[in-house]
Amino acid sequence: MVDYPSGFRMPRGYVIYAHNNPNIDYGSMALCNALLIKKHLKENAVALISDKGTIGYLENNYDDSLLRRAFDRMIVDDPDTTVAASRRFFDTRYSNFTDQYRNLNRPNIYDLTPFEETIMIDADYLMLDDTFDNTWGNVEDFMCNRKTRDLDHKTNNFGFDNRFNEMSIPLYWATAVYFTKTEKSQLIFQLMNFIKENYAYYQYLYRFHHSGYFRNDYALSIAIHIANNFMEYNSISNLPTDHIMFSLEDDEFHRFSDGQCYITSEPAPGDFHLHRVISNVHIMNKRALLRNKDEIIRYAIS
Amino acid sequence: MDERLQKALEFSRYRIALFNRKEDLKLKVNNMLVHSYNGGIFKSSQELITFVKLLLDQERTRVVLIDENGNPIEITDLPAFFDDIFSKYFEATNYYHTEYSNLRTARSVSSIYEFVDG
Repeated sequence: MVDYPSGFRMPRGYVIYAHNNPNIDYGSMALCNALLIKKHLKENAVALISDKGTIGYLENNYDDSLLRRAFDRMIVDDPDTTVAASRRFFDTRYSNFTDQYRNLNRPNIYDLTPFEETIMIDADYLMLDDTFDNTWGNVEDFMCNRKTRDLDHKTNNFGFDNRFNEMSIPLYWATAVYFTKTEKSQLIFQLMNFIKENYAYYQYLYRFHHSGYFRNDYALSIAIHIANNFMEYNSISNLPTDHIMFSLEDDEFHRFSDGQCYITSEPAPGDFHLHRVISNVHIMNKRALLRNKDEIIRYAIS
Repeated sequence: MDERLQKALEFSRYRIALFNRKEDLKLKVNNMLVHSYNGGIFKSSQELITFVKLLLDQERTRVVLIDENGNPIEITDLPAFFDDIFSKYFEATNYYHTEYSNLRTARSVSSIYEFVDG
């Protein structure tokens, strides 16, 4: 556990990880999301865990008062970028690029969080409503979701009913994770770190498709499976919403207006469906999200 | 393209948008029905409201209820709990009704989403 100065720790709050790469400004995404949390939620303390480069970028590009308004705490944890692998990012069906995926140090959160009760969320999981206010003080010490739903309301989005493969373990999503400081939570994060260090072995053991970079979702799912004594039972409860709503990388995020996202999905080439998203949503097309960052910030501080 | 086919395709696009919007609304309403109490997560429903009312009619003020995650949660102030789930239920259903009524008169994709270009 990190020995923070006295007064640094807080009872409840959100932790957002953000590590910029040359193509994607995760820091600005985290800023947008932190401001949305302040706007929509009653319990709204936010800590940013980031690297010196990303924090420096934020300080150079945004007013100090805006950063202070968004983030109650900023914690530096530089990931080891020498082991960071590349992944392909899509910006709709028609454009893609490859860059480093540096989000490797999330399993350290148990030691780094300044909160007694923490909700760790992805920088691109936009908080558009107040559902997460129902999470705090829960009798469960660790909660996350198994189910997903895309904007066209399909639920088996990655095949295999959200499992690694047809004969493998359930897939849990690290998009949003609630935990308190207990032995069970500590064990799961320690296991995630162990799995990260031995990723190739676990890939072989659990036979998941290795996309070339470390996936927090996979490490979390394996950690939960190991913590369950290699059994499958529902030891992990859902967050107040029983699924993660997400917008695929193929989708285009056209406009953010009055707290709502106007997005088109394209389930088949040329088949465009318009959506007005009014609930929390994970935006996987990160560049599209960043094209709307000014509107999100303007709305969130209004 | 044949005019009849064009019209059919436009209509199917409208039907998809209508379906998605209705599903979005259901999810939103489901979220609005969530109520947390004493470490438990409850969903305000007709069943829960009726059961709690029954308990109140029997002059119980302190009971244990099973929450959405299957945990036993002690309700220490049942009248206050009832008021909360009751008002939450109607807040959500009134919202649903208003939005659903707007949808019933929408005849195009843009009107379904109240999308104003510009």
